[in-house]
Amino acid sequence: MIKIKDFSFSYLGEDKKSLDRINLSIDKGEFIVINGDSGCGKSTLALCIAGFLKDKGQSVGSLTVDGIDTFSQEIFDMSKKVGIIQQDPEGQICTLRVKNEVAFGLENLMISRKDIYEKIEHYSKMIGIENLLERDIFSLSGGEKQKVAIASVMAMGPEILIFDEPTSNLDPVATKEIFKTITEIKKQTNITIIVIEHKLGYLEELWDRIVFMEKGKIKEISNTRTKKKYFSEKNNGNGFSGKSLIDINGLSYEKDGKIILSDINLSIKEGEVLSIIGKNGSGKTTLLLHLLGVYKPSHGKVKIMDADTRNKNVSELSRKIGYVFQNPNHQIFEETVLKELNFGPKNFGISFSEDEEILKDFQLDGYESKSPQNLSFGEKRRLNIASIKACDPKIIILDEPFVGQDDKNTEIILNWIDNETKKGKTIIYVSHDPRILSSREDRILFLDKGKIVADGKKQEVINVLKELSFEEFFLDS
Amino acid sequence: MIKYIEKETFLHRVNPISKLVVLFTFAYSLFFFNSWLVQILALLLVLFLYTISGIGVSKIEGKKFFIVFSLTLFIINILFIREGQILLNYSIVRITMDGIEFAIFSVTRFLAIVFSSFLFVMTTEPNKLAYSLMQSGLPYRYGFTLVVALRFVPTFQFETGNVRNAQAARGLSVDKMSVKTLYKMARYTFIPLIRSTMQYIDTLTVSMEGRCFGIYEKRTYIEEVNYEKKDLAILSMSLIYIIGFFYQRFGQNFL
Repeated sequence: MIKIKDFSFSYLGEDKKSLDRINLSIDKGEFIVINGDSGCGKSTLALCIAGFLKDKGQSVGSLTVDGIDTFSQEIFDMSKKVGIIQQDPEGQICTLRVKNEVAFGLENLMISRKDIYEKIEHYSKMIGIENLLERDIFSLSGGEKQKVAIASVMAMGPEILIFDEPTSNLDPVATKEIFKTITEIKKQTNITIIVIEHKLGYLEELWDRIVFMEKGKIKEISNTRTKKKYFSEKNNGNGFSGKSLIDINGLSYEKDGKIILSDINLSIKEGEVLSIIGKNGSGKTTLLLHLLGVYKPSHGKVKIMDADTRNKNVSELSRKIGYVFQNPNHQIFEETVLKELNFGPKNFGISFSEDEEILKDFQLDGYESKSPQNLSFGEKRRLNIASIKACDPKIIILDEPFVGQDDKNTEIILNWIDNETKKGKTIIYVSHDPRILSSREDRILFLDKGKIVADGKKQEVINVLKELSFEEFFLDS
Repeated sequence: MIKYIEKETFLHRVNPISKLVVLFTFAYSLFFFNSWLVQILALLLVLFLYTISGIGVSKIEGKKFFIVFSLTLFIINILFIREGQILLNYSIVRITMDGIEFAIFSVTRFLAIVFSSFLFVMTTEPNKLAYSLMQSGLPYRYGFTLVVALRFVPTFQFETGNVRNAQAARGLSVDKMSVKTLYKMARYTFIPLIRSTMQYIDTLTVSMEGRCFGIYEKRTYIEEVNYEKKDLAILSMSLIYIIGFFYQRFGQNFL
């Protein structure tokens, strides 16, 4: 079905080969997983198969789908054969209502109303969104949006379906749902499926073969199912004995008559690492923004190093609390890496000269005059953290630092966290990645519907979550 | 922001296109009536429609602006129109009957037109408007420009909030407002938002082209925009009104 022979590809204006002599052939109905670090060329390979890169660069060798060279085809001819589901659920939906979205491609193909309705019914049932059809896109969760995107692509009746890291923006519950959906598609159809993914655990039962890529090349193709060991196990053995830096007492927060946080009691000590988990929309970000003073409690008190946040403004609190937000793009303001690093210290009016050291810590040395725009996603993320570190806050909050990060980047960030805590800094991070939680011994706080459901050592929290059927937050040990 | 408010009233159910035609007919014809009484009646009619559409006059935003603007417009008109029966003549200020009439005339016409447009927005689901326009002949590429824009409004509102928080976290103070901080905030808000827009464009292009957007001249639509009896009645009444109106104004020469 797909035959790739000695295929290389480089983007316009780049000397580097994004794909370097790829050889791979995929049979009809096969289920292939592609795994590799960010920037290894897996997304490029997907876009090449789907025919999107025809005018975007130089290709050598051959890549055919059903014997047809994808680079000689009109994009529309390819898109009838190959459907692609991308990483970001937000960006790939172009209409305002679920029904319109699923119908979108079929309408473009001038299919009659009656036939479209039949297809919508069929595919929305398969994907499990039949009760969402009349809903507004705005009202959907990330996981629901991703399912809508899958249904919209499936409705086109592709022969090949490519998932490009479909769950990297989703919480573990939604992630599991998406993998269930993919399993369902495999069961009910004979579509060839290619999944690009870091989280292999869920896919082990499904794949026929797994392709490991590295620096534009295929490193290994295998069909074995070996449990991979994830991150080096570290014990955060400081015993949480330092003095308390954050004290939250009876915090509740209401917005537009809706209770978002209720009765939160929490104290976090010097040198402690706290990992906050919970579904999207469980109140994690709202809780953390209370620490920065962006939100003020409706009831109760939040104290940062003994100062009540109600009497402090954000700019004062942000000297003590460094907050790294989720989306790297939203927090890069300057034209060069060095300027970016200096942005915070300049605003705060503090002297800063440790740039070399910090850049080295984050393996960004030599990038000083580079534009942040040209960094990879992983490098941008490290730059975000480095820029907060440059302000030298006592407490650092990392909101989803590992999303979209490959193992190498994740390891750099985790090592940095451990080093910081040794120096007496407090780190709070939000993570959805079960691999990280399972491989570490950090204190864990589980939030659900605005309440703290569990708070404590890993094993204690796992026991609580098992009882509540939230096991997907951890790997089976 | 003035936006669609979901309700189940007559005005909400009318086909967006017929509503648009009525709006234009109404606003356009106001320019041809010279009587201030007609303008007042028109404004009262609009306010009445607010009540029957279940939206209520209280939903009009920017009341302060409208009061200040109307008063200014009113005073300027009174001061600058010096013809007609003099009511008050003191130094350079001369208030005349014509001046007052024209001031009422301009203010009520302005309000009638603005408020009727607001009412249109508040009773018309934007999605339905876009789809109706496309099915009534607007090329779908333009129609989808509107749909995609509407789709991303909440996304950008949300992102702007994120960027502001990120600025605060790195010491760009929002607590004190000055021209300098305002400039900084604008600059440092604009750059990150552009960057994330570019990313959305990349994703959206793959997503839309991947589903054959633009393959043919025309496309089909799952939801047919219906013209019911009441819509036809409204459209023909508007037509009769326009013809009658032109006939009345321009007399025999018109036909």
